Amino acid sequence: MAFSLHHNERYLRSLEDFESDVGSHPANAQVFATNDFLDVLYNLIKEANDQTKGVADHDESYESEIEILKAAIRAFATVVPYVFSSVCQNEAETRLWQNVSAVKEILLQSLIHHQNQGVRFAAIKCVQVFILLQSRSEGDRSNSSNDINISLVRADHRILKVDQLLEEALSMVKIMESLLKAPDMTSPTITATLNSLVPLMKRRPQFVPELTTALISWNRPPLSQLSSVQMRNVDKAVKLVFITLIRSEQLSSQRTELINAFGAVGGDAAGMFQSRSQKLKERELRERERRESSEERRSAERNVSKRSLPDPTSVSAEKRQRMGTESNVSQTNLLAGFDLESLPLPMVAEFCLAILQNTTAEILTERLPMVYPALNTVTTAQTSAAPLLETKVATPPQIVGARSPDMHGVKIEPSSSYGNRSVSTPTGQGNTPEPDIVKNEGAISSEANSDFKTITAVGRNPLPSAQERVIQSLKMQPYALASPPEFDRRQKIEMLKLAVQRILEAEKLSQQNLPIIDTTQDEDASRRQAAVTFNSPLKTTWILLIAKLVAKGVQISKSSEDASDGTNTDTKMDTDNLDNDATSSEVDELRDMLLEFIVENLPYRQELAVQWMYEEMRMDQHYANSQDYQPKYFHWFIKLVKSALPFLRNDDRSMSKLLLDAPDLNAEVVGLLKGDMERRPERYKATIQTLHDLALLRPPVRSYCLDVLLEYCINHDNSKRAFAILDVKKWVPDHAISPIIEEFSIRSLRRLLDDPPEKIKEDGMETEPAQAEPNGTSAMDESGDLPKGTSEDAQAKEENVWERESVIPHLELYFALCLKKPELLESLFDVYINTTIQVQRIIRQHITGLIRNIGMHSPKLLEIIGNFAPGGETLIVRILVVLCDTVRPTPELVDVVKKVYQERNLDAKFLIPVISGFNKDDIKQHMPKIVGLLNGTEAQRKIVRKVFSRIISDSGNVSAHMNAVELLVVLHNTDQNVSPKQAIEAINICFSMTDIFTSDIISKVLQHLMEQPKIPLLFMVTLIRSVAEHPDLVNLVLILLQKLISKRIWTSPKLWEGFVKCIQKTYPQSMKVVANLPKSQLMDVLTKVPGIATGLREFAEQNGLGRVLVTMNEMGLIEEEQE
Amino acid sequence: MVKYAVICASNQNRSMEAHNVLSKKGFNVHSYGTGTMVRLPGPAIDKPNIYPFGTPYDSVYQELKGKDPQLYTQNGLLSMLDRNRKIKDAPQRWADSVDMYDVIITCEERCFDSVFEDLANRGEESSKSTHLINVDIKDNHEDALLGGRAILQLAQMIEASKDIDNDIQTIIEKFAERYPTHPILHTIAYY
Repeated sequence: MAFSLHHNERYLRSLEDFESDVGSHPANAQVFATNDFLDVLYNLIKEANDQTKGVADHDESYESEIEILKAAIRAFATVVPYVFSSVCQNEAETRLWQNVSAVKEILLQSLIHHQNQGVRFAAIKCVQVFILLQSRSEGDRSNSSNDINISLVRADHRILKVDQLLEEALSMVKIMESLLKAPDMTSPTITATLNSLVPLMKRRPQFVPELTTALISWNRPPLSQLSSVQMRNVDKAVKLVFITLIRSEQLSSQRTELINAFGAVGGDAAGMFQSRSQKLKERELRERERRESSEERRSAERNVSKRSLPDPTSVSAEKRQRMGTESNVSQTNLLAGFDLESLPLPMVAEFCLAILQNTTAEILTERLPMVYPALNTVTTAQTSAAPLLETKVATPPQIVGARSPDMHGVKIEPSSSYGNRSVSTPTGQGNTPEPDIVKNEGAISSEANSDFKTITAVGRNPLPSAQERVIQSLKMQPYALASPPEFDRRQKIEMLKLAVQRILEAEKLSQQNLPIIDTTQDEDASRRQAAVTFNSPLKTTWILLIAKLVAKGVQISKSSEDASDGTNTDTKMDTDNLDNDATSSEVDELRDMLLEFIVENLPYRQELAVQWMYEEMRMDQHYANSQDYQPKYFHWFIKLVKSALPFLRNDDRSMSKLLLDAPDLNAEVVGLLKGDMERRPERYKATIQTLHDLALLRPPVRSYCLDVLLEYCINHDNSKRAFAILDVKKWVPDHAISPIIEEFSIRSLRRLLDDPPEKIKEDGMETEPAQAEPNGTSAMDESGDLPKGTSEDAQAKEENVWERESVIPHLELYFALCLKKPELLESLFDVYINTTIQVQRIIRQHITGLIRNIGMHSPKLLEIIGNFAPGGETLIVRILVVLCDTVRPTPELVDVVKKVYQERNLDAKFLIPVISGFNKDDIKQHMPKIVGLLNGTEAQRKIVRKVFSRIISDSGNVSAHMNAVELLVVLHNTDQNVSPKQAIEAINICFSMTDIFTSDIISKVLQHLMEQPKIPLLFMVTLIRSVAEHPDLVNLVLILLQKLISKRIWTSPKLWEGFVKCIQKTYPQSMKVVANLPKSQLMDVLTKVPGIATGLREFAEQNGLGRVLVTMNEMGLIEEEQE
Repeated sequence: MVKYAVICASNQNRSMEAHNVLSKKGFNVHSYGTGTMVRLPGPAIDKPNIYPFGTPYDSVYQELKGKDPQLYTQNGLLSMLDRNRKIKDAPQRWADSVDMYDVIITCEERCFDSVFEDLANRGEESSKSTHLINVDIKDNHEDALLGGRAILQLAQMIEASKDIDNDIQTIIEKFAERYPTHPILHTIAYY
């Protein structure tokens, strides 16, 4: 800062020091409260003032003088409180005070009117500081510690004369006032004055009235010299001053005046506030109204609780505030839209009271009815109880009327001892409990009452308004509730029913909100859903509640009526219950209601049902000893099951769950299930599962359930039977239930020994065919080629035969069990042996699957095969056939079969199935038996052919034990044990299998046989056959014949016979062989086959075989020709 | 050198625009907000984005960019925040300011009232006078831009004066004449 040279450098430096030290920290100014510094300031101010006063030419030095002046005044203003304080403490500081007084004089005389505005700003502030110093702090003491003022001055202070100073302060206030209205003042100066007044007024409330008046009239008469912009600035500043003051806590006692003044200064005061906080206010108003009602009630309750010391808190204030607003608006309309929220509550209260005091009784009387409805509508909007409140306030007797039981929204009777509390709590949301309302009224009354008492105390007339009447009526203390009306039993039950109904309806509604409820098809999902729903604690609560209510709710309501003492309630209860038929039918209605509700959606209400049933059970147990008591549990449980069943979806398992969870079950329940199953085939599977679960988990009804299940195991419907068997099978063989099932299966098997069921006859339509059939059936038997042994029995019963359809049901369960437990098969033989042929055949056909599944590895099966009862041969053969149908038998099986075959000298049929399991020796050993099967019939030939093919063909990766050549050789060598006829048949079978027994094979066989030391008889047969079947073998045959000659074939007449036949067959090629025969044999041949003579002679002639010709000649064969 | 403070409600749009303009022209300027919280437009009129004062412009920028870049680009918030973060760290609250300013310019009458009240309630212990001026600017980007230029004009007029205190009413009058669209208020207040 370039200060003028007019001043002492030291002064300027001191000022600069001050500026930098104190600057923004006024508290640092204390150290500058020295004579020296004051001298500096005094000199600077005086000189600068002199330099600048009246100067029109604003050159640079002038400007710097102004700067110095402003800085010095500011410094002075900052430091003077500390100077004052030190003068107060030190009466010797005369010089200090002299400086102060000197500066003050310049200040008041000249500076505040200085031509430069900036100097005026500083001076005005300085004056403000002086006023603060020279006046007493009368207001709030909170900041008295740093408020330096005249109170610090001792009486008889040598320098400071208190009275004088006070007077001076007043005059300074006047100066300030005059600044506001000075004709030559600019708006910045005025606003500066205004701004400096704010702290002054806040700290010295004693000046508020005077200054307020000045502020109000600052512009009266209008100051023409101010431009519109300046006017606006001042106007705004004045209003802001008021706003600041109104909001100030220190001036709370003078708020009324300030608000009035504020209203007075601005024609647009309301508008200004509105624009400022309109949005805020509107929002808050809404919020407040919402808040208010609840707050009001809360505090009202509080008031009731300590009515002796009414609490003049926010609520009453708020209320008065609202009332004040209303009346104020209607009177002056000044504060329309004024944001009352911005005012502190105590102030509003004061304000309202002041207004009420100034209002005439007439106006109050006139306005109050308007206020009250307004008040009421606010409440109405907030609480549903409001209409009630109004009715009751107006006509208290109606309270009782409003609760008459025939109204539809009847509440649970508050006086009933049980259940009402828990019932009303969940439903209580909509119905505000009545005692609250009454309290609420009470609070309002006491509160409003105190307001009006104040008014009366002031000397106004009592108010004959509606409000007053209301207050009067509520003044009756203490306020007692009317005793609850007594309802008769009928009504109570009616109410109970309504209550239950409401709970149930509420439940329905809440379920409708579950989106998946109807769309769920997936059983698992719905169960999960149900689980979720029922897991919520709320739900559990009401379920329990309802269950208890229904099971014993009525007894309790009755007992509360009859047993007033309540100690022996229980005993009274049941006698009541039994005495009163009407009541029990009521209860039943209630139960029916619940039942209907549960049935509607069992999957979701199954839990409820269980709870209810438990309650019923509990009641039953509770009264089990009282002889007149009729147990209800089963009655209702069966009713429930009965009504629920038809509504269940096909795959719904909720019934199963219900039954599993139910406290008790009996045969009747199972019967119901069975009935349902029969009626609704689509529920069959679900019910079977239910029965299964019950049988498993509820032993008391196990036998009933099993009966049903097993019954279905022999049902005629294939799919039903299969499902039931599948189900029952699960218990075999390990579960405790298993023996029962096994026994049943065997029993049902044994049924086959009895007469066939009469059912077929009963069918009417089937009667005729059934009668006609026996002949046909027995005809079939003959062709079936079965052992005849057992067929006699069948013949005996032929008038009524087991049909395939009726046999299989008896077999299936048994077979299914056998698969799990093969030892059961033993029982089958008993039956098999003793039953009819037809049944045997069906058994044989039907057993295929079972045997295949058991397989030949089962030791039990092997044991059975090895030890079967006589008569069961056909079945065993069948079993063996099935076992070995596609696979080679295991050595164990082969051993077993061989053993039993030998022991009992059985039919070769036993061997056939296992033949592929035999080794070469076995086959050789048993071949005669097999060949022995041949009896010239095609059927047996087929069997043997199959055996042959099985013997020589590979099975799987195991090569055959015997090849075709070996087989045929073996067949030739069986001649000693088999009749030739059979042997030939067997060989013929081989020949018929041309794809296997090719000419190549045959030639090998022939050569092989030829080499045997003893040529089998059948050899010739084969030889002859070979020539016939395979012409290409002729040469081989001739060679063989030649060899036979060398083996002197003729020594064996049979072979020789064959030889001759063969010669005949191979004629004429055979001639060369014949030519080689010895003479006697040659003659024999020629004798036996004369036809060859010609050919032989020609052959001999051509080849020059004289020996032959001689022989022929000897026989006379040639001679004749020659002749 | 004259110290300026420019003030609006949230110290985001109008005051920052003025701050931007003035600091570019080399003025000693600070900016503040008088609100209790910083409010920025959100996806709906009743869903503003609200932050405490002192939340850095940059973090607000990043947050809004993450939330809905398209919306906040379109309504200009992102570019505004981008500008702001280049000027200073975070919005500041007027009530927390300690420095003394020679000229305080508010952009809304509400802020003017707040500052007036605040200064009066501070106690005026420093006896230092200050010019409190309100230049009414609507709170949108366009008006903020125009308002910023108006404030710059005002500052330049003030700067041109050798004795602000003495010349202030002339300046105000002139300004009021030149910018009738920005109603101006002036008052002398004390620290």
